[in-house]
Amino acid sequence: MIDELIRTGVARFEYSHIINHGPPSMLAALSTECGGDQGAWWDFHDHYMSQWDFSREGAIAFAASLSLDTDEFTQCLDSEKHLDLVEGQHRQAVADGFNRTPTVRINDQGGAIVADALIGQVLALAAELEGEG
Amino acid sequence: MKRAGIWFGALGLVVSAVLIAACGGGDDAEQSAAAQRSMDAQQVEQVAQAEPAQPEARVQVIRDRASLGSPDAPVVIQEYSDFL
Repeated sequence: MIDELIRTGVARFEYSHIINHGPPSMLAALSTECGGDQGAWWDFHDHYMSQWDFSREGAIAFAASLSLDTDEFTQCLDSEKHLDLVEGQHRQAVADGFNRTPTVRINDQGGAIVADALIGQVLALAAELEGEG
Repeated sequence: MKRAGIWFGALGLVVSAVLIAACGGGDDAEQSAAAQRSMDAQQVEQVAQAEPAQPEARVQVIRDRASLGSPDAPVVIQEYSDFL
């Protein structure tokens, strides 16, 4: 249903990192951002959502399986190129009072909404905005 | 003997007539089945015409780094999460 809301232009989805589980969380976040440098952000997102290997070697192997430039990827990962971005998103989430994951907000409102309520809230807000337009 | 020949001749005519009738009936049955198939096909076509495909509004889904969907979407769903 959320896919449908996105495909029909009702909603856009944005993801921000929260680091609640230490080094494995950080490695997954940094790997995803390094994959994003080579156009594979969502490949890494989907990869980490579906398996539990949060090792450096596993990340590099996955980059290789996507035919990414593994030298560039490894350098990005080892240099923690996107550390400021990831930590910045985490700090902002904590400042906003989010300490549980996943937390979902809609147009900067709400938090920790379950899927059915989320869909209802998106549709109600879209109708409200359409009425204003 | 001549009389028996006449009987056999008449019998042959009757058998021939029955066979011709039977064959003609088969053609009728086949034509009827073909006509029925044609009607069925027309009905299917009419149903298809009566139920046009639903128009579906679609926008270009931009699959960018950490975001998904149209930049013009009025609603933004923000997820704060880690992968563990």
